[in-house]
This record gives sequence, structure tokens and C-alpha cells, in this order.
Amino acid sequence: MTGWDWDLITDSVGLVLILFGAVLCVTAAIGLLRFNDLLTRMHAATKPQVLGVLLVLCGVALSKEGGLHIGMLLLVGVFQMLTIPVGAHMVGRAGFRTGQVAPSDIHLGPSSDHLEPAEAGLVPAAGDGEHDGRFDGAAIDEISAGSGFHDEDYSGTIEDEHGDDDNGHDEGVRPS
Amino acid sequence: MSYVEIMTWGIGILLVAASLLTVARIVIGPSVLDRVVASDVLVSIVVCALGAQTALVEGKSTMPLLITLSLIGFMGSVAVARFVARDRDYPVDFDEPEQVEEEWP
Repeated sequence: MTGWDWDLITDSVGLVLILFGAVLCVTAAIGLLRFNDLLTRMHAATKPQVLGVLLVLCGVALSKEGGLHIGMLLLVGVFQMLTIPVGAHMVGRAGFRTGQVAPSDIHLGPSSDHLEPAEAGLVPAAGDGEHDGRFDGAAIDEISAGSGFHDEDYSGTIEDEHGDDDNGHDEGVRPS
Repeated sequence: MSYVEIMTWGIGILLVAASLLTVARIVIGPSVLDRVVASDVLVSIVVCALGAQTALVEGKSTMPLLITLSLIGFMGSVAVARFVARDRDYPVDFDEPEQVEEEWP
């Protein structure tokens, strides 16, 4: 025990932890690029936001010496874990309200009576991106191919939407 | 090269690759909320990079910057989420759009 170089050991472990955090960042970036839905992208995005940052903070705490650093790192971790769920909640709620979450992706529990309009199909599914001209055609194909929506649900409402489409692309008709 | 230098290069390359992929999602993201999620990930990547710099590079500590980022990094996403929730452009074929407005204030 006495022959060990504890500085070397803690520095090495800290480096490995920081490397794991960086690997989690790359994983989340790949997930952001390859997933094709808002909720799955949020699922990929939470990995470096909590676990990656906490691994990096543990690595920093092992690498640096001094109690002040550890206190500030604890503060950073606590703030991160307090603020990340707030942002994720707001983004998820905005996605649900603007119709980017498919109603078939949501499991409505017994206490969710106020979500009835989404279940009844009042909120357009994510495959129907034409309602505000926000999506381009390739994204619509990608999203609808990825999540398997029924295309014929909102086919009657599309032509009504193109009167005020000022984004320049008017090809919003789907192939059905 | 010692193993510390090799690990430092590896961490740097991984973080740069992650941020580039995230910026690609911000550029091509089909909706505003996708870009918001990607920018949140970019903030956390920056937090990881600053922590790695604090641990690996000798010199000044970046702890106040880390605390500031972890405190206010979520405000942009919250603001944009509120903005998106307010401009709802629903299909006009609804039977009772006013009921939708009332049920989700």
C-alpha cells in the first residue's frame, strides 16, 4: 500500500472518467442525428446532460486537489440536475402542444383526462408537418417513414392550410 | 507522448466531433424544438469541455463559468419552448378550436 503513487492513480481515474463523459457526448450527438422523432431525440439528449456532466465533474474532482473545487463542482452538479428537467419538461410540452408528438406514442393514464383532444386526433401528428410550413418534404418523408403514422387522417385539412403559407415552398401535398 | 497527452487528445477529438454533429442537427433540424434540444446538448458539451480543461490544463480555473452555464443554460430552451407553445398553427378543420384554447391555457 505504501508504495503506491496516489496522485498518479487519482489523475488516471479522473482522466478515464472525463473520457467516459466525452464518449457519452459523442453518443448523444450520434443519437441526435440518427433518431427521427422529437421524443427519441430528447431521450438521446439527456445522456450527456446528466450522466456525462456528472462523470466529467467527478473526473475533475479527482484530478484537482483542494476542497473549494469539490464544493463548486457539487454546486455545478446540483444546478445541472435542477435545471435540466425544467427545460426538458418545457420542450416536451411545447412539442406535444404543437403536434410534433404522435398521439400513438403517448400512453394516456387514468389521470390524464385533460389530454383528451390529443387522443381524439385534434393535434396533428408529426408526419403532417405542413400545418405551418415548418418541415420540408424530405423531413416529412423521414418522419412519417420512421414512426409509421397513418397518412390519411388529415388529408382533408391540407388544402385549407396553403392559403397563408408564406414560406415559399408550396409542394405540401402528400403523395396519397 | 505520455498517456496523459494521448488521453487529452482523445477527449478533445471526441468533444469536437460531438459538437460538430450537434451543430449539424441544429442546422438540419426540421423543427424549432429539435434545434432547441440540440442546443441544450451543445451547452452540456461545452460544460464537459470546460470541466476537462479545468482538469487537464494548468492555469486558471473555469469554475465560475461552469456554474454560470449550469445555472442559465436552460433559460434559452425554456424561452423558446414558451414561444413555440404560444404560436400554435393548428389545422383549421377543428370542430371546436376554442375548446382547445381553453383546455390548454
